[in-house]
Amino acid sequence: MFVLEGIERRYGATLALRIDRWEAGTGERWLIAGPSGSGKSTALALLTGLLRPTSGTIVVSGQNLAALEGSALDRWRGRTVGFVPQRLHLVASLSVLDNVLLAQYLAGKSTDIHRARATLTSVGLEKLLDRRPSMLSQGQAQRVAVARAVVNGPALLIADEPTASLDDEHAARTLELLTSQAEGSNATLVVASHDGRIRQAFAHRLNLEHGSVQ
Amino acid sequence: MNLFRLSASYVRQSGLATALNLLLLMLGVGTIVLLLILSRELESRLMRDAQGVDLVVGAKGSPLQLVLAGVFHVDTPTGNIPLAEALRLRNDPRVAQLIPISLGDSFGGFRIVGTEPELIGHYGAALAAGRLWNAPFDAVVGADVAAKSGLDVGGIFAGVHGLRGGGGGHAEPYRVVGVLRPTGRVVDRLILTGLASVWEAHAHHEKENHDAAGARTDDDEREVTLALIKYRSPLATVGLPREINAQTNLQAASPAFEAARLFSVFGLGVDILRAFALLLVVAAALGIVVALYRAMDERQYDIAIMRMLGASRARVCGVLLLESVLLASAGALLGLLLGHFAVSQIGVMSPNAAPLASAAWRLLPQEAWIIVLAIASGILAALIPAWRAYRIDVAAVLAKG
Repeated sequence: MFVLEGIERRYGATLALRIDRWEAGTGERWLIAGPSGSGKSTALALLTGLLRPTSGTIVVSGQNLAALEGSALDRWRGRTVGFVPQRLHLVASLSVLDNVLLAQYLAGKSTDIHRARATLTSVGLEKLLDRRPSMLSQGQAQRVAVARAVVNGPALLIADEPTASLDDEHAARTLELLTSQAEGSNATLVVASHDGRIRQAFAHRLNLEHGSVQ
Repeated sequence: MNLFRLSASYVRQSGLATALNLLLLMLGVGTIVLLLILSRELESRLMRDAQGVDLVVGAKGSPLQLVLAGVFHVDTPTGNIPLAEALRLRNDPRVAQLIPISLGDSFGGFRIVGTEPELIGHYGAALAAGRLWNAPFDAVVGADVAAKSGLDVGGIFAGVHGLRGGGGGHAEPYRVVGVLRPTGRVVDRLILTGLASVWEAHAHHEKENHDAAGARTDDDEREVTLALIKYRSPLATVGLPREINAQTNLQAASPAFEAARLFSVFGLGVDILRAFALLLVVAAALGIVVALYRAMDERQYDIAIMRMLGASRARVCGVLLLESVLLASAGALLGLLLGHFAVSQIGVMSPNAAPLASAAWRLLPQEAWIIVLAIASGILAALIPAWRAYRIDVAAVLAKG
């Protein structure tokens, strides 16, 4: 599904990340594990095309990211990648439903309110469509963020530290939600986390330390 | 979902700051519109009332005062002039029309004007009811006078000495014999009568009070206050006023010139007020800059996530620009409404400004410019925040969490 080859990402003279080769198949579940500062965020940013590698090539869904520029890259990202950030970042001025519709709109798709509702129903939020994010619990807000990430049927679903601030029960539920949603759209799931509790759930792991694969 | 809805949601979200900036813009634009309408109305009223009067002749004194008294009927006249001398000008080949006017009395704040029937035609007025005067103390009242005082044909009223009321009363009452149709000109606010009425009123007055005001009954020594002159050709402008001023005891004043002079004095005040109003608009624009810029600290996460969701740099800038333009246009539109509304209220509340009530909602061509300016200032206000949005490092912001 994606291949990273001969990747180096430097900030000035400092090497932030080096991955000789990382390949993932369609529908696989990957965990990028490692302490903070190990290069997890850099790896995610490279996968989504937000960051360019200093050297090496990245091919996602058959698309060489180096070949995409500007708004074409943005559009590709909107349609191909679903991203659940650690802090969720729901748009506070929009309702739950509008947050999901926004993802469709910004990806350049026509907004499909039935699909948006169905996606929110699949994460158990059908009763909260008109709520503002500030009126949601942490768990509910995370569900909205997941719905927003999967509404466009992404080939690649990425979550950054999704369980960091959750108790065991909620961490397990979140993981279950992510895997079921990834399965639903046959997406490859990549979770970056330093949370030891969720290691067992992943068949594939990329262990990072000081910017290198261990 | 679209860009407009997203921007509108931000405008709604920022509650108090939005409301304050909107208010500032509204006040600034409202003041500008108010001034524009008022000066347009004042100018057109001055022009309308002065139309057809090329020259006013009266006693020596301030030419502006003479014009104010004789054409706009707002000031006391400079004095009286011999009727004979005024009538001599009638024979001048350069004069097409000369209408003598005698002032001195009023009723209920409306001036009683002794004159000849030509004055009615001069203002393009016509009788709505009744007839013209044919005897002393017959009066024809203007439309406003009839409406406000309730006088109608057959009504009787007593004039008082002086132009603003409060003077002594005259013994002989006036009889209303005619009412004029509304013209939108100064004649609506006048009570017209024959010259003889004024002479007789003041002859009585003189006998009773030994007061020197007014005219004698003796034909040769009869006086009027002033005379309105219409030229046969514009060429008369060159010589006639100078001749009158130099060679007679009369003074000639040009309404067009005096009105322009008056308006230039008034215009200075308008310009200063307009500058203040512009200052309000600039303050509002700055308010929008500050509000947007401060919101950027929080908004950077929204912008980062929007970029993550597929929005291009141009599109996230567009959200900010649109938000600012929405705010500015809303402020401008509300300001336009406020300005027009204020003018209409002035018209409703002040009887002297009654014509404003109907003129208040006529649109000015300058209003299109106000909208254009508002949109432009909206764009300007959003430039710095939009630049920040354009350059945002999405990966860093999202990772920062």
